[in-house]
Amino acid sequence: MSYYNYTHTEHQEAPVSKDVVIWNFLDFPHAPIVHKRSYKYCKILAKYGPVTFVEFGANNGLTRFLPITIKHLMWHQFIPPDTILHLSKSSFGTYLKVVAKVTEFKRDDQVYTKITHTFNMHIPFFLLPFKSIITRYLKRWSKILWEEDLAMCLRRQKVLDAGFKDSPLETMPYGKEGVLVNETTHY
Amino acid sequence: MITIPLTELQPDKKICRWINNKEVVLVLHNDQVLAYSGICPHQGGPLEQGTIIDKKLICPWHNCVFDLTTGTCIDTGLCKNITPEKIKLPRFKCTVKDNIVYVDENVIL
Repeated sequence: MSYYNYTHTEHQEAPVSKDVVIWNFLDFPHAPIVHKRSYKYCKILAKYGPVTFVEFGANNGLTRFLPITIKHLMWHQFIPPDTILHLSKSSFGTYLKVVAKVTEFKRDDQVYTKITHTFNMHIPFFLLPFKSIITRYLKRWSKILWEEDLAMCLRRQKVLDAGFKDSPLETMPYGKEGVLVNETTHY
Repeated sequence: MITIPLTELQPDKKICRWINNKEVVLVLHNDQVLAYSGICPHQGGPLEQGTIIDKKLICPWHNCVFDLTTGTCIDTGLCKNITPEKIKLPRFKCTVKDNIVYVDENVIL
């Protein structure tokens, strides 16, 4: 029997290239600023090639109205050419595995990218009767995040089409605790 | 060249125009007309949506702070390992004559 007893899938689509979507996934610093409704802070604890170990403070659900932050530790891995893998553990002890697949396609001569998020979670037995509530929450949270990310992706595509070149500077918000490992690979 | 009636500019309300693949943002701040690139030189963020406080512009994507009078980046928000002087916000030559604002997007200060 699988450890993960809950699965949910979300699909999104945007009229941008796959590279723009992946860039957005790998841009950690924007999380507590653009997604301030969902994240209080984000810091990098280690980075090795396409793997980043992140700590972030979630700010959603009931905690939005309370002066507390749910801390998450996350393994974030980009598996070229089209997969992003998250494995996170919250301070409640729950594990969440998310696999995001990014697929580029054309429709009416316009480039689109489809993103499929598959959520796998281990829910404690006493919460199993509330699976439908968890699904509703995930749908709403995904919708909020996607609206904010879609605006970024569209903007990014627009300025790239106008000839903008990214700043080549490293932009990771490293934790003041120090970074255990820091090796950056350009991919 | 962009021309805008001075009366269209209200204090701290930005006006954005695209011309020749350049995004130009105009704002009347502390009685001075400022014209700068609307594309954050860091990662292309929409500076039209940025916040202006005391002639400092804050990017809404990563909280980079730019001095509007010099274009210098004076703070890099969360990204503390960037050297601020390495990224600079382009500003455009802007003149006011007969209550018309003229912005030459080809002259970068």
